[in-house]
Amino acid sequence: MSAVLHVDLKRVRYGDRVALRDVILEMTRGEILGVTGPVGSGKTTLALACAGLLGRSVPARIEGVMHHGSPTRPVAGYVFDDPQAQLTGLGGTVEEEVAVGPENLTLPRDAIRARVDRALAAADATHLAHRVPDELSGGERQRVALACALALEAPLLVLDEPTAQLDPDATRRFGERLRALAEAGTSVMLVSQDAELLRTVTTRVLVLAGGAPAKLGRASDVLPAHIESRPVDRPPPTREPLLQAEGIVASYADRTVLDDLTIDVPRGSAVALLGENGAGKTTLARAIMGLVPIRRGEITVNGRRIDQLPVHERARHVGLVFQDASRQLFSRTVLEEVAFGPRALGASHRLAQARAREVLDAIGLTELERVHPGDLAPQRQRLVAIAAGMASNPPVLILDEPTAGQDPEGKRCIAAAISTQRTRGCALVITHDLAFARQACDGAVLLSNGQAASRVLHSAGVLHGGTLAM
Amino acid sequence: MIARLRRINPLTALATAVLLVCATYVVPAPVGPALMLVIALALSSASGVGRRVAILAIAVALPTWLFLAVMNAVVAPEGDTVRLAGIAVAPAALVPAAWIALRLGAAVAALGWVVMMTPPLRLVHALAQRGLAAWSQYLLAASLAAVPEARRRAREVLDAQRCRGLAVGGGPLGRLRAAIPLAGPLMVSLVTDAERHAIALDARAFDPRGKRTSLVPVPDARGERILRTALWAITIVLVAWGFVR
Repeated sequence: MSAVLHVDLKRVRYGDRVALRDVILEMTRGEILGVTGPVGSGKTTLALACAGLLGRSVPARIEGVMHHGSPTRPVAGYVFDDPQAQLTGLGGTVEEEVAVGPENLTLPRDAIRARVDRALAAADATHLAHRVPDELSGGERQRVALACALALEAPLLVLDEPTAQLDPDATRRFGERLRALAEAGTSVMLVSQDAELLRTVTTRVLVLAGGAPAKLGRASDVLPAHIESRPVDRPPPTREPLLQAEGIVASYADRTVLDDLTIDVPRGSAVALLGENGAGKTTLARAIMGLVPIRRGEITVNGRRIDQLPVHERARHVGLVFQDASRQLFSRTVLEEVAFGPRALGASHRLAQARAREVLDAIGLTELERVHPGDLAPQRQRLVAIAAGMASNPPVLILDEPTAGQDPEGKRCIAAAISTQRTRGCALVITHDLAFARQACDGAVLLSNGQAASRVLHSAGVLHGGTLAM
Repeated sequence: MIARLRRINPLTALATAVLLVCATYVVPAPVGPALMLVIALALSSASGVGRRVAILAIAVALPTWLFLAVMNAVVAPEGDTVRLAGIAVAPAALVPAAWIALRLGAAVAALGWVVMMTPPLRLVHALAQRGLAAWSQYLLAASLAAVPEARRRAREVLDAQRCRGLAVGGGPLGRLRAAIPLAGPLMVSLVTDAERHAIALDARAFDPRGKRTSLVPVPDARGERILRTALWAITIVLVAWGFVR
């Protein structure tokens, strides 16, 4: 087997901070290497180094040797952990964006067309070809990001959390396609927190901890045994509805996204909102918050209609944590960020800071209060956004994909936050992580084509074993 | 008609706009600028962007005329003055101010027609086909996308702040008040986005010194190429005449 990549990194530094050390690694043709570990363990740094981006567009000091089997650029196709970051802005439609790589390689038009079609098909994104990238859902954008990397047809593919926002079915298909790519000779480095995916597709798994390799071997040897997640014992929710959305119709231009949708979330409960990418989950969250206008329907919290209220007044009733939390953070420190809501709703500076500290403590982020939110890893930014959403004490908290890319510690913090919110009112949790939904939520609503296709509760024993049985 | 005009090569539209702008300043007022304004608005209307271009032209020309009129006729009046409500006003100064505003309005209408009718990336692709370097293509695309991008980011930050209870009042004062907490985060996020774009480009084998090819063909018929040559020639003659006149 010929080596596609040889890595012997003594140290990688960002300024004075050592992010990665003592990594010796070799990848062969057609191998799928998994990389996992806690947030901040150096996974993304290793991925950027292997993709040949570190020390070029990503400033860093590298001590060591990095040798790619292919002498010509591009040495690798790279998928960012934030799919929005993949977009260059040089494509007005998805297919034009995917074409940017082959265009940079100065390929003739026919060759570009062939590569774009192949990449879109391999990423399950052919149907998105003529859409505008900025109007895609998170999961759809993730497929486009993969297509962008595939279109380079490099011998090595480096994927950083490529399935964090994909629905379970799309993740399964993604795994199958990855295996097909590997069989065709492409080597793949797959950075992921999804232990199930790593178990099913990888040849070997590298576990990083504290910026250094901790284990390297077969997935079955280095990953902890699969533990069936079970719902935590907790008091059953009341039957009293707290959040009700009835007959909601919402659309973007001429595309109806929510079509006569009805959903309610009882007081004292957490309900998971499930559904495939593009089903309308985020649109529902934004419609409840007032960021997407509804054409028909009623939204009530605690029996009071809120759909006529402006967004800033709805903030007293509903807290929303965006899917892309980095775009929700705007303050200079974590403490200021979390205190912003209470301040905007009229609390004194002292009271707002006290509330912010209380929430940061509950979520386990106290040590970050002086840090700039922009300096945090995306997973930690999401935790800060959750704290900011909870600080105003809204009776309804909506979390959009909170567990995407989170390590077990991050998921534990989010479960704790949901548990706290349950005592204050209710939570609506948009997620593709069925294991987390089963553990942290009391029930689930499955959204399909903008309608609530079914509603299930744990008590009925249907949200089970990673699939939604109906 | 709208579809036909929108299909023309962006470089032809650009050459037309440049000719209109030059004519606006070279042909004496009021006939020159007024005629060019009419042509620009007619082209805009035929391209389906007439209303937006007219609003843009008025939004630039009217405040310009008011400012110049106040400065030249009231603050520092020259020539004969009359007294209005006890203030000395030079009515003759209003006319040159009007011609300057008219010229500016016509130039803005001509360029606004191109910008509003042409998707920015179509212009970039057209220039790429003419051999523009990769780095220049990106700079042009980024510059053309800067305003919509800043507007999108401002909307995101504002949405995030409204979701946490920040009241954004109506009226200019309310909007100004809302802009203060918005400005800092907006600047930071635009810088962050620029860094992200640089990494995204590097990850896609972008070579700033190299050339790029294009998936999207921008038609450039022989007739259009001849027309463009004629437009550039007229522009050069016009500018030369402006200098020697």
